Amino acid sequence: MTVKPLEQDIEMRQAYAEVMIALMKKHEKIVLIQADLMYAHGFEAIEAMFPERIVNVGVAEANMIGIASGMSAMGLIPVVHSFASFASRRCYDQTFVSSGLGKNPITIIGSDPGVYATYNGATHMCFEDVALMRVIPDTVVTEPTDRYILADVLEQAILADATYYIRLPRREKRTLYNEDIEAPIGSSLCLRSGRDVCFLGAGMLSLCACLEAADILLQKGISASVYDFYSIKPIDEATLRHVAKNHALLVTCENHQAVGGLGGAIVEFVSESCPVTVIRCGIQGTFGEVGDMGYLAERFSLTGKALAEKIMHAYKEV
Amino acid sequence: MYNSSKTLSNKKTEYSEELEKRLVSLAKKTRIDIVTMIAEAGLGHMGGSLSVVEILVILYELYLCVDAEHPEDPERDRFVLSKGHAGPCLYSILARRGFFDSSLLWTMNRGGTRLPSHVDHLLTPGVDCTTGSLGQGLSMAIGMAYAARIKKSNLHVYALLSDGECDEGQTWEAAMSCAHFGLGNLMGFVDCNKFQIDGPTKNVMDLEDLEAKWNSFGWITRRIDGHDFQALYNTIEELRELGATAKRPQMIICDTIKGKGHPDLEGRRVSHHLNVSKKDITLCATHIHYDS
Repeated sequence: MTVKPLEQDIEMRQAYAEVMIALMKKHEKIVLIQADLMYAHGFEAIEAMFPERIVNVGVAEANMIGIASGMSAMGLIPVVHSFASFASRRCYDQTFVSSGLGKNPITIIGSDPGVYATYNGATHMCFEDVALMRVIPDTVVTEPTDRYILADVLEQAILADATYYIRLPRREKRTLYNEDIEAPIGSSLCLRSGRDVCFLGAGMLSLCACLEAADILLQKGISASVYDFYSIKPIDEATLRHVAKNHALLVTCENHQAVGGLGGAIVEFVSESCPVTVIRCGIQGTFGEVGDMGYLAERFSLTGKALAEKIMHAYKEV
Repeated sequence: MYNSSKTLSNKKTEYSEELEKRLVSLAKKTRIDIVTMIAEAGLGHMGGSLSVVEILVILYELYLCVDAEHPEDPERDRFVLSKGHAGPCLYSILARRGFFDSSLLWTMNRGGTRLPSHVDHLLTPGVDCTTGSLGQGLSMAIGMAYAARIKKSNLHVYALLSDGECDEGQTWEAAMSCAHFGLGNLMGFVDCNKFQIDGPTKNVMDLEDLEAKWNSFGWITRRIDGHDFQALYNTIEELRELGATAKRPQMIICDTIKGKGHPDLEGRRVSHHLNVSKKDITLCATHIHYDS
């Protein structure tokens, strides 16, 4: 597909609220459960429209997951939200036992993942959520790229019989797609076709870095493909087989630890099924820190320039 | 025997001498089942299964609207055994209610069994909630009670907690929210048997005054002898009415004896999880004057 130029659009949180209103009108079993972050998503409109179907549990994420799981056991469709750190790390055993093991499907929105936590700093900077959620059996783990992918993924999530984890950068405004895009879980999207190197990214920040790196590499005579792996679990195995066969080097890029997340999932599959050299770019085993997006992207090498430098060096050795 | 009514009615039963005799007899049978199940397995959670017998017997005999022939009826009452390790007691009662054949009882904890040590609603007919990780059950029960309200259903939700699990922070997150949401359709019980794995609760983590704590969290609270059927009956009746009127959850702190019914285990720390043999069945039967 041809990628249109990056456009500034509405924030993802506004898009999220709009999609939820549409879904709640369509599916009367949806209940939103919040942990004192209702207004961080601009849910005032939802509160006014569906006062009985929005529940605020206060700053109590473990209880939030338990209540959601109990509602799910009664046939409702709960969607819970907190910052990624608290939606994943803080209530992990509750998600594992009450939702996962008990097969009580819920949708968990983890907002401001990774460096998107910016001024909230290290305590809120979650580089581990994908790894944690991915290892729970039968979960689905996604990182929607823009508002259009988010809309498609959300509708799949509420209809799914699974514990669903969705990363959501609230303030991200950029878009890569349009309303016609379809993003089935277990698939991926090709943003650019090349011959030598293949970038596999998840999330807008990483994909922007991948696209920029591909431009830089092209000037150096290296042709790169770029794929959007918005579905981290299940992973698009068919595309991985295809790109492993047709490129000398795969490069994963994520706003997450380089272990356990998208890179981990890809290496696990590729090493057993279609071995090829893979370089995992992402957070290299450190905690987060405070700063703005520009600073943090550079600090954690999530820029096109940093990626391109790393890959130019590595490609020579492949 | 339990009545296995096909309709989910919840008519009030007057307390009588005859009823008490029946309840006491059921409690004895349940205790012998528990010891026999654990003896068959060789080891298991004796103490906390024996301490909750009267609570579960009266709930399933008089209050829970459930139907073994329609175990998934959406309008049934829900029971959350938050202290999931008391599975042996629940299994005995569910088998007697006809949710599954009683021969399954003797398979508990064997590979491939449908009766695991900690209860699992995907495996066992009649179990409403998978538990075992302490502290999670009350939140689940609240979700169920809240969902009933959203769905405009009159069903009731009951939850049974251990005293040890009141150490868990989540229990108090849940307690606070339940009162805040005004869920009068939820009744809780704390099996206050005074022991947790490492010893007396007052030494490991002092929980008292439990009644004052639940009260201060907004629950209508009473404290009774959890082995006294008349007290259980009177209190459940009183609180169901009060809770519905006041739209507040209700909590009954039940003072119980860990290992109740086994002469060597009553009120002893070692009763929590231990090796059990067939000799224990005889010991227990003699102690509680059980006549099969």
